[in-house]
Amino acid sequence: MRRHSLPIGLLALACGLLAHAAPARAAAATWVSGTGTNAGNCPITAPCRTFRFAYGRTDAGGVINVLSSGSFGPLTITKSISIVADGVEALIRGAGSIGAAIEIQAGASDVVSLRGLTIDLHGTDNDGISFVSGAALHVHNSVIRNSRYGILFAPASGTSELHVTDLVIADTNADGIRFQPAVSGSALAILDRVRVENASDAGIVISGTVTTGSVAATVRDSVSAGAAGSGIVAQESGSGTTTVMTDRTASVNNGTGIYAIGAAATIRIGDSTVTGNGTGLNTGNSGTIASYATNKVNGNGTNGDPTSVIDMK
Amino acid sequence: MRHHSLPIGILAIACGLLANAAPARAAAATWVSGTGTNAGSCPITAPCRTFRFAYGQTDAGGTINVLSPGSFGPLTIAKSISIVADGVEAVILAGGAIGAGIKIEAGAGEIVSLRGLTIDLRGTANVGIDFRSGAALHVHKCVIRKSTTGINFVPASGTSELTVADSVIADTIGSGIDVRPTGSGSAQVVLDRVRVENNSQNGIGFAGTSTTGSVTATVRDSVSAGNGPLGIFAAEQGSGTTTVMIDRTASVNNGDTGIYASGAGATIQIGDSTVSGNGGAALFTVSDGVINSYQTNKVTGVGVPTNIIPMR
Repeated sequence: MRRHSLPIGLLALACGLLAHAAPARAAAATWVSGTGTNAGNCPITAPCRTFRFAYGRTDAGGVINVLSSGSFGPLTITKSISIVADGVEALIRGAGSIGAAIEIQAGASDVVSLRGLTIDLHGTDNDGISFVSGAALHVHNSVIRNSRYGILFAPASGTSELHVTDLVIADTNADGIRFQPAVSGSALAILDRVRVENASDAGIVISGTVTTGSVAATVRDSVSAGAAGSGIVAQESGSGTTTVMTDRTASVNNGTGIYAIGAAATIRIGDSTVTGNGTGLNTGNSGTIASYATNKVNGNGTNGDPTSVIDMK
Repeated sequence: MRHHSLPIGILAIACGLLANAAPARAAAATWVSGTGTNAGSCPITAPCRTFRFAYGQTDAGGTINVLSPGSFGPLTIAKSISIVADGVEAVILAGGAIGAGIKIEAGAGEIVSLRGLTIDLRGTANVGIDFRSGAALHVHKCVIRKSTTGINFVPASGTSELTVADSVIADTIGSGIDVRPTGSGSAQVVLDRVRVENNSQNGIGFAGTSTTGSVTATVRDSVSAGNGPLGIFAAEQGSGTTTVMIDRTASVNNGDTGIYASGAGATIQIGDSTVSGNGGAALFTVSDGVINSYQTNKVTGVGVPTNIIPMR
């Protein structure tokens, strides 16, 4: 009697092709379009429809490119990846079950780069970008609005970097940016030409309070305006330090302009503008605001004063 | 004899379809294209043709997205909405029956965001963006020209926020930006990297004169140049205050005065700014208006600040 069974090798190959879990062929660069179709490996000649599908077809360290404008859905990122939307609109308008438009849970040496995104969560209780782990996140030339937190940056170990340039965060239900590592995580941030507008809580929160690690942030040529709480706040009640450099930045029309809370929280401020706030400069629990004496702090309900004046070099 | 009348139900449905009032299905995100068609719910696969039609198909709090370049017509906004034109031209060429490129009459908690629009009213007598009510208006990367007033911000009650960034307002026959609440309205304003050029009337004006409320404004890294009488002014003769911070900004080449404060409740703080080439005075105050200077400005022309104030 002849056996009618496939050799095991052929059977495995057939199952692999049918299962479509791992992509048959991932690519270093994939393409999406607002009128694309989720199939194949997303070449430019047949762009895909969602970030999630294209992500599955993109090599670690590869690039998802937006060919033409569209709405591309939320995404969980667990590897190095770059998303580029240059000269087109790349909208993410929902968070699905992820809880954020983009959730980053990458490896300790993974780097994520996001450019040209428009994240508008229409007031739902989800975050724009939530960073849980990874080496570095770059956010350039993007808009985040109508979310819970605009950016929630909360790595739990090691040291992670946040690089933000030309970003608008507006109309959030919670803080615009909450930069708050957890457990033993440390974090370094540069926020350059960031505009945080009309946050329901604080505009920019830099906090080492829930980590044993340390937090350092530079806020440069940025605007934090119209927050119900503080425009820029540094908080540290943990075992590390929280240090903020505020340079050529405006914190205006907020409840409080600049607020340092905790003996290990230091905000240095130079060439900056603090006006239109209920209180301009405020400290609590022995926080420090060290000023280069080059700031315009007037026109607040109460202007306040720095705790110390420091020299430029 | 047989009645040849439609049953009332069918007649109502027919009228509903013809009236094109409420959308059959509104969406959180709609799309428009310069070659689109006003029909259906404006998905990306069948974009619509005008902002007005797409607006009717968009949920409150939703987004109208511009898929490809075009001229999209004027719009009255009465709910939270965001219009996004990224990497494409979205032009509004006339105010039509609305009387403005965009008129905003939104509710007290509602937020409007406009990004990437070109409003060019070609010299017709309509306002570029006319804000009457709402919680906040964000204008980013927009160009407004050849309107009457470019941005007319006149809330009548509560406190409304105006943020204008990376925008150009030019060649109007009115003022570039005029913030002038009425009734009991207050305004909180940030103008950041705004260029106001060659407007027939004033460049940038903050007036609390018509309201019992107050006006609080920051003008940062901006230019008010070649406008009619005043480059930047603060005016307050009412019961509130008008307080303006001018920071790293140039008020130059205007017809009369660079920086002008009128009224005892009007205070301008000015630092790291440039006032030059104005036809009349550089700095001017009337009726106890105040100009406080951090003494870090480059000023050519007549006038001195009321006070020198220290930086901190």
